[in-house]
Amino acid sequence: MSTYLRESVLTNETDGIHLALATATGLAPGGLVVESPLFFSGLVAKPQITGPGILAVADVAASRYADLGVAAKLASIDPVVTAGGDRLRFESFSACNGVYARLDLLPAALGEAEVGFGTTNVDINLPLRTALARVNQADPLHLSVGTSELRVSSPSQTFVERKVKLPERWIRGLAEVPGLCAEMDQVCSLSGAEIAILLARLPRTQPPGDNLFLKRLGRTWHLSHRNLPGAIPLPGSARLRGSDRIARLATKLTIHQHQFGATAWVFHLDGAQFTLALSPNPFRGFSGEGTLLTLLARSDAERTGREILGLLGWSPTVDATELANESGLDRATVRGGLAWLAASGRLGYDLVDGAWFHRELPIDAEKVLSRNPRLTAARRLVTAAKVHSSADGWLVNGDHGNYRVGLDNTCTCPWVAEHGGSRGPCKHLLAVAISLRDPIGEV
Amino acid sequence: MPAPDTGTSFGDRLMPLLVVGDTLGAWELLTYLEPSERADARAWVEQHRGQLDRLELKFTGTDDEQFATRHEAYWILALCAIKLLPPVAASQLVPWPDLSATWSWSGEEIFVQELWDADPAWVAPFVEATSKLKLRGRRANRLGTLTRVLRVVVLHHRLPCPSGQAYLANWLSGTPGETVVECLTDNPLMPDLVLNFLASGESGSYLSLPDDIATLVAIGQLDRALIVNQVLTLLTTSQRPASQRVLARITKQLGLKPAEIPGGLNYLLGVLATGHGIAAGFLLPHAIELVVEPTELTELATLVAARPEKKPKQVLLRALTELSDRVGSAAGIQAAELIGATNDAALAEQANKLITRLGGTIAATPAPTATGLWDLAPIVPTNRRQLREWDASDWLTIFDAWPKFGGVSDAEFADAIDRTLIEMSLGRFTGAEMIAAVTSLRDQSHLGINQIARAFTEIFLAGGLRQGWPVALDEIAELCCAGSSRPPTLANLLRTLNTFAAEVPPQTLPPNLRELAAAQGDTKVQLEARALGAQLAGLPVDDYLATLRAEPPAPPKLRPTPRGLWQLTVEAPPLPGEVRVAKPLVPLTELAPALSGDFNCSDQDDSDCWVQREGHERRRSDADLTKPDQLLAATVAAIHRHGPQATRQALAEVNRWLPSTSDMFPEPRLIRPLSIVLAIDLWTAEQLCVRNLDDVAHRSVLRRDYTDQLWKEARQSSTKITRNEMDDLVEATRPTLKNQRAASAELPLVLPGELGSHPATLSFLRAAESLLLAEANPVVLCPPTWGDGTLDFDDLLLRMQAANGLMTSTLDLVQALWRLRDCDRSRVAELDGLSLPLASGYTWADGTSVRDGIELVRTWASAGGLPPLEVIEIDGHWTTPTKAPVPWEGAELLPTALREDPWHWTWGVDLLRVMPRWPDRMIAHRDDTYWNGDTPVKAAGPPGLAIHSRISSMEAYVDLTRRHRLNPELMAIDAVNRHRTQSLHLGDTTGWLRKLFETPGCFANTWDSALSMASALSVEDRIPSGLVQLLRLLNEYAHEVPQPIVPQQLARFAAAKGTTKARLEARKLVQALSL
Repeated sequence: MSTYLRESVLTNETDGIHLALATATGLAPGGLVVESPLFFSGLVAKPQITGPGILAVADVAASRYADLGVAAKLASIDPVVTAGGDRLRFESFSACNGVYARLDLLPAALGEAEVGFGTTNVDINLPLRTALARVNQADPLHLSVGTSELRVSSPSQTFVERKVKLPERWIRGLAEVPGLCAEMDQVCSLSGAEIAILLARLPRTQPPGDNLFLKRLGRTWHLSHRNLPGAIPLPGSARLRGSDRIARLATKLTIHQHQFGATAWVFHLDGAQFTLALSPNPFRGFSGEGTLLTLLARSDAERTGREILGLLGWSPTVDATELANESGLDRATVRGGLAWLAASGRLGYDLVDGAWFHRELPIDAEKVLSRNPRLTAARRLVTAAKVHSSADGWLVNGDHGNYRVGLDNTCTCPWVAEHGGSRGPCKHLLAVAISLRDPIGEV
Repeated sequence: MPAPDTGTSFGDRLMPLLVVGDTLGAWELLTYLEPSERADARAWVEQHRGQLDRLELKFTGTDDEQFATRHEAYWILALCAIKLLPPVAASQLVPWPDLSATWSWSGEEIFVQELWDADPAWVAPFVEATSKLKLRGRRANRLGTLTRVLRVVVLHHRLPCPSGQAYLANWLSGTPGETVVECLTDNPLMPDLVLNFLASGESGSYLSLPDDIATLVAIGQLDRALIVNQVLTLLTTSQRPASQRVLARITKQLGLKPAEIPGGLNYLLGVLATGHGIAAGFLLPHAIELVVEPTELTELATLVAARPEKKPKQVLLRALTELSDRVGSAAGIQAAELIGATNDAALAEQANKLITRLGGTIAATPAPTATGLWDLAPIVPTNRRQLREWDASDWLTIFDAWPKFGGVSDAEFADAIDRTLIEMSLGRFTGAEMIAAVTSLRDQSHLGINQIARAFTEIFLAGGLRQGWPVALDEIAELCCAGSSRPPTLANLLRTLNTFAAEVPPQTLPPNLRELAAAQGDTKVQLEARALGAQLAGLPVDDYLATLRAEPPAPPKLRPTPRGLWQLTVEAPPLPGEVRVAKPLVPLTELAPALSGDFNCSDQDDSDCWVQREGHERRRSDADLTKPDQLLAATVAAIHRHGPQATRQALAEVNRWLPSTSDMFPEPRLIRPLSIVLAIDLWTAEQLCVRNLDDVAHRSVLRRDYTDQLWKEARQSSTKITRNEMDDLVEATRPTLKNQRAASAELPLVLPGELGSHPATLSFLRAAESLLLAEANPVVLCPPTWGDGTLDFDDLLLRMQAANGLMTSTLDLVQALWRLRDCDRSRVAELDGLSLPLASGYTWADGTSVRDGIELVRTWASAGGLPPLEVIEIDGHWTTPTKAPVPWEGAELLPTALREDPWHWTWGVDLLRVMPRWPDRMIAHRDDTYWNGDTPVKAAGPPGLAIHSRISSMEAYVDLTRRHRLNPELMAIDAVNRHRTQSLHLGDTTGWLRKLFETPGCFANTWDSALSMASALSVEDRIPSGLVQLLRLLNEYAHEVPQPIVPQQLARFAAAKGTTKARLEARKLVQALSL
């Protein structure tokens, strides 16, 4: 739980518009927790992108595409901003956690001003949203993310300090989505009028919308409800409307697809990019996809992750080869370490660069790791000596029965029968993997 | 008074109060709790959480009493919450969804008083928390109790207007006033109430709100600037489409100007991008007006192009000429290119013309290349769930533009596609069911082109292109194109097909589509047909059109061979009027069992004169047209022969209990007998006498009218009364046959429920009069000879001879005359020497009294009997100038209501029993909703205009046309009447005419009717839009008619000047009929 000491405001001054985004408690280099850190302050070069882009991220945070019980209890959550030295990344999830949005304001959009390092929440309140929607694009825009001024609360102040807490689901999503994105393939690239042709084909139905598959024939996009060869899945089609506010500004759109149905839509803007990732099932948010679990099961992953963490330095793009060179580790080991870091919410993934980027969530990263219950359960199985090798694989004594894990990475448990591989390995497979690499007692 | 401390727990002390709904007692208990008891009480409340069901209380009394007590108990739980808990917790444990003032006053009064008396510092958070409760689904604030209560509390404590969804979901509850404007005028919660309501996102269901707000602004109740600011703010918050529509309409009603919009174009671009289509439609003109830079136009065009709606694109295209003058032609051309980059040929054509006009050049669109879809085999779904049972009529529902019951679900649609793909994979696909569905729906103007396009898109993409393409193009698209009236959205189907054309081997369009493409003009459908043809031919559109127009005209079509529909006949079962009623010979010992039949007075549409719908056949009951009168005659004869005492003794065995017949009626049921049998029952119980017949006829009310009157009085005096209490009140106060003499003479007799209509009362009086005369006269004159309720003169003559000189029931005689079939006037002579002294009075219109009933018979026969009924429609109500030779109005015992109402209507057999030869009298209003059965199309005589106008089932039409009883002239009159009153649905009519054409034995009569209707409608000043379809249908079947006749009106219509579609079709028809 952290606190805003002020609220974000937008004011019209003689030299232009001033957008002051209030920051909550954040993490900065060195791991220091900072009250209202200042990450950026200056005249932005692309005001026509900045305003709508931030609004689009806030739109997603304020939207609920699928009416899940938990989602209904969540208030509008403020986006997370990461300053990476030369760029600002604003991230958010929808209240249902099925849509991830990220605006990357690149150096070309931010202009000459210096960008700091760190991660925190920014306050996007309703009056600010309204004011942002009414900004005149022609006016210069001064953006500040955080403040260097020392503010002390006093009884005369009208602003009531607002608490902000990153919801559990967001934390899991922020740890999960980068891993999914890292495994996606680009399946389509559109530019100019082609973007409008595609978007115009999508029905404007009530969220979350139909589960569609998009099939392109010539210039035409056909929508189908069945999975067709070569079609792009669009589960919960209305969720793509999270891009409505910036789609008209896009010069290019790339679509990326994960083998199990998650998609990411990257709108390339002038000096910025807006990424919208959609979960494979509109009624299930980004959590528990288990993409990184196999890597996390490696006992050396944590060691490596902690070792290379100090080398990241809030870098906007993390180069695994460079890290391997710097750390003296091999690339496979570095990959395991990066997976561990991603699962702890310390890395994001940039689909345009095809690379991880460093961000530290203002939370206890160790707790993020403990939020992988499958891995915890797998370790418990190994510790309790429930994994036994057999002629054709392994036998795992599970809580509700004995399951066979085959040499071909298959398991006879009901969980695998229900989900296949779409949600990562089951705890029995993980337990076998751990037991192979870490004999009992070392886990 | 403090509640005595009994030493028992709070729950134990509260439960007895809950069981009896003692709200005041509960208030006293809660008010005088000792501090030491409050913890226990609070724990009890928190444990039960306002859920009465958990307490398993046993309420006593009638259903209504239990219902009322239960509601008081809910108010007690609500009181517990606010008396014992802190405000936020209390708000959550008040059982709001279960609270209603309809059944309880005291609970709400005490609850509100308690909140009034509470500390405002407690009340304020309670109100705020309550207003923000999440009440969804069944628990939503539908009854408005929450709002009503909070409103008076807020006003009392001068708190701000609540802003929560729960409060605003029923925002005007408890506010004085009928209309929204009345409710908001001088409302102390304004303007916050309306501002909060708009912000709640619930405004979508208040369609009149924009007008109401404009009115409130106009009369100075609302500040315009305040509303405008709120609306513009809310348009950025993605409310539901319906609410956005209301918000956008408010801007229109308040005359919002672009200059008033803070943020100008940037704001509008945001709303246009994220808002609902309708909101965007309202705001687009403002955005267009604010564009001043080329980049702004590009941005706006990109945004509009990315929206799925066509209308904004058209609006922007139309504005582009002026915009180009404003910001430069380069930006205009770019915008036109963006808008024109679409599959819509018409839109692309408009955009291209604009680009040319602005001096730009049209960029060549790269030809699409095939992706191999043609060679893709049908993808049969694996791991498929069980497909539901296939019904050939599914395509009828799927392709129906306005399907009944909401059409098919997505899963059913997917099943239909899957099944089609399976048929394709097995090589069994012909498309015949699809084509049949399209044919049928086209005739009804119900064809859903978009549904067809959707289905074929799914089939094509899933590997069904090779097999489905010929069906889609050569059959269905061609079928839709045939004739002069095409489905208005045919262009959409052609556009969809065009998107697959690159995948298809080169080919030509089928004849009708080719003709359409080649014809002069540039309609949307023509442009799409040309685009499709060009794509299939691999040519540019202009080249393709030139080639097409250079082709020789298609040869004239040959006249098809008749199928013999005209000559095909189907034997119909005899009409009720052709079946003689068996004469009853019921010995005294058999009378009671015979009268114990199912004479339920509610089985009023169970007669042979009706045609029951398929699947709606009812069980037979004895309440038909003839049997009750036969048993009356047998009873009267028995009384005369065996005496009243012996007969009553025998009839005491009559059983009015119907045994259990089905799961629906597991217990035996008490039958409430119809009027004639009721008279027998009352005679048996010695409750009939001559004196009370007059009361029944002239000083009586129907029970339902009496109950209505009591309800009205209760409402006027604000007396709270339940249904059971009302029933008791009626029973207690109604003067009856039994107690009438004890009651005040001024009170009308309340007729028993069995006499539910005045014609039923007439039959009752007639039977009663015969029963009371039975000792003197054994003859009942009126029992029908035929199954349709009519009587032969021979039978009547025999009965009159048997009753010669005996005191005769006047009503029986008049009834016999009204049932009498036509007879030769010369038979009047056979009445000589007969005399029927009348028991009750009959008076001619001139005031002359009739003493001998033979005079009535002579008058009737001399006049030639009952004349045909002429019906006239006045404002939808039927009436008649026709008078019978012996009108019912002359009978002294005719119920007053029938005398006063010239066309008194009742449903079912009651009226047909009184006037079986005028079945049209059963239809009171042309458009009233009728009962589940149908009109009595098999009743005596040819059906008249009223019946023709109300036939509502295909089964009835089939029966009529097979018997050639459908009157073409009346069908034409009805069609014209309906057309003039704008209630003619000619599309539907054409649909069922086609079905009749195809039904064996129905063609000839249907043809005459259809031709007559088309002919009559063709000379109307305003030609009905569906006439083209009707004429086309006639054209389609004209070759089946052996010696066709061209109606003069139709010939004149065809010969007149003009080239409307209807006239062209009429000319084709006249030509076909003249061959």
